Amino acid sequence: MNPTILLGVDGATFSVLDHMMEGGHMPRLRQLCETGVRGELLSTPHPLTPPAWTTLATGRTPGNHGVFDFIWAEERGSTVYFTLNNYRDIKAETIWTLIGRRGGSVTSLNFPFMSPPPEVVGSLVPGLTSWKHLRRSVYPASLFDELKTLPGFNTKEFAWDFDREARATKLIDDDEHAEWVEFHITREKHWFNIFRYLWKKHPADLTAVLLDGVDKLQHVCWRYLDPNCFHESPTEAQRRARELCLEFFGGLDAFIGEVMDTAPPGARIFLASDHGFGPTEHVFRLNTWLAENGYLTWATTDDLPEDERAKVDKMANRHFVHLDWTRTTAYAQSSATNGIHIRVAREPGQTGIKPEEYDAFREKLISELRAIKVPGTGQPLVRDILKKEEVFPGEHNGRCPDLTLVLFDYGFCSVLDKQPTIWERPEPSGTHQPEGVFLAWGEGIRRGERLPLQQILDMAPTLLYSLGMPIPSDMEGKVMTDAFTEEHLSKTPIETGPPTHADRDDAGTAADVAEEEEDEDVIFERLRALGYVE
Amino acid sequence: MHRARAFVPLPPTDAFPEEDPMTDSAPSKETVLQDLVTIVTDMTSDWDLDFGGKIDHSTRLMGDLAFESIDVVQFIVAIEEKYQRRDLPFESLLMTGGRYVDDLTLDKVADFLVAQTSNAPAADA
Repeated sequence: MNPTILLGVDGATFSVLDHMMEGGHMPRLRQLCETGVRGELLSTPHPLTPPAWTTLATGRTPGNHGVFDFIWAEERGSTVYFTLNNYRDIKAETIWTLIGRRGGSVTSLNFPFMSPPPEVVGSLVPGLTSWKHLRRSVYPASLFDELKTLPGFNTKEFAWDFDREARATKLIDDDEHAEWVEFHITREKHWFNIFRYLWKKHPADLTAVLLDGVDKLQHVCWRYLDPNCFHESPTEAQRRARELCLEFFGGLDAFIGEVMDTAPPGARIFLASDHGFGPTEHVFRLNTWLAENGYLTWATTDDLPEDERAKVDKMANRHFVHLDWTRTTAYAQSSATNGIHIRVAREPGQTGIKPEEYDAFREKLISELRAIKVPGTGQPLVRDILKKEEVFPGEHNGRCPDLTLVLFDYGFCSVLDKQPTIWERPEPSGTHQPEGVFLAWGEGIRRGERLPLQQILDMAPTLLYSLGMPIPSDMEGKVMTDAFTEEHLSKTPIETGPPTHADRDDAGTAADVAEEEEDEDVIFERLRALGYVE
Repeated sequence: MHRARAFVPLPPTDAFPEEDPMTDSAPSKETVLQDLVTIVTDMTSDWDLDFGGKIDHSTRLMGDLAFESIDVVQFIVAIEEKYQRRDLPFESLLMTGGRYVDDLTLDKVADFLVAQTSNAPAADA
């Protein structure tokens, strides 16, 4: 079994990485490109962390793994109940458990929705988990105490920090940008250390880490990363923020080089991002637009306690939980999905449109959305509108929005009750784009070639192939044969094997696996709407 | 929009070895309370809380243990794992009049769970 390494770099895009390599800031990545293969990696139809990483880890499309967002929400009676997705919400088997069932071992670090942790053959530290809950969320349970012995180990410095993520979305001061980058320099170093420790102490057949600092920096600090956005005469604080960004990418590069240098004979390294990145200058307030066009009615705050009403009115950020459900036919739950949910009255007593009105209602909505223009330019605001059943088919697409908007600049929608409906940002920000990155390096990998567009759906079967394992018959992806040499492909034919543990409902979190989701602020907004966070 | 969620039996986890999952016979409130104390004590053991009292039936999740929304989410997951139930209508515990409650005692959570055990799980359990 060839040792296989997956370096997940959330949000990595060649538009930044090429700039870094050309500037001499990432020489080891350049070496990896020159001695391996590189290509763009197409994300899921809506390029978002939850569905994309879950597709990478399952080889299944979102409609079949069931994860579309950081959260899921359901109307229950007159209330809306929502919570965060977790491992039990993934309806397809991940490679983390599959590889163990096939006789291999894994190290899985910082991947989302891996808590409560599944039993794996190897080690697992989940991502998107607060430091308060990390101890109870690693596998095996003894691993946490083991990691605590690492010099400088501090969960508060590398586990998910919901408050910090929320504050970051409001950063406007260049000094605060610098602090943000410094935090992520430290954070990534912790994950590097955990990787190094497990790599040496508990080597696995597949060692995978998700490094999400690139995404964090690009969302907040795009203006320092995209040469097209640089200020002509930067202030000292802006120069400092830019220098720290370069330091961050330099640290990432050194880590990549270290993995290359310490990879055992026969090893292969794969580097992949869940989506690309680019600039965005506008915010479309989707629920505001739906209200202006008669689809949505905000609830009055008259019945709220005085303190809560004042808070809501002052902040002018009423959320979908503050809707008048008797007069709302379509609404957006989450800016992460850019999605619109159409309310259909399927049972007596429910409010919403009649089932037989659905198609005409949806077409009218699509038509009106397509007519929206970007102020100043007159170009269509909406690049595309994805219908649930067409773009996200599958047996687990029940939580998918009825419509998903692709905006002209791939920006995210806001779901809050604010004006103006289309707001132009004072400075460009970073947003997700469909094309991420794919690189491969090592034994049997072509050298120095640029590949045609690859698919994130193909990552899981490619990793299994690298490990010498058959590809489950129900995986929708295929092996990225473009990356491998003809010699390797002829010596190691691709084999199809038994299906995955198809029904995850029967597998649960544990281990009879012997058989066996602007996005960070969205989480905060959902949590704040829960009422427990100010 | 109003679909029922399937009852999903879950195998035990390392964190909470199973004793008497909420299946055929309803556990007593005393048993449920003890389970909740065990869960919360384990969950908060390294939180550096100012709270110096003993965790018991009167302990308030927000007021005493400084629970934030994410902690509530994790608490619910731990309960679901403990009792191997994913069909418990926590919204009726967490929401009143369409709004989320300000605080919860373990006693109130126990009452909710005991009441739920008297309700048979979904038919596909």
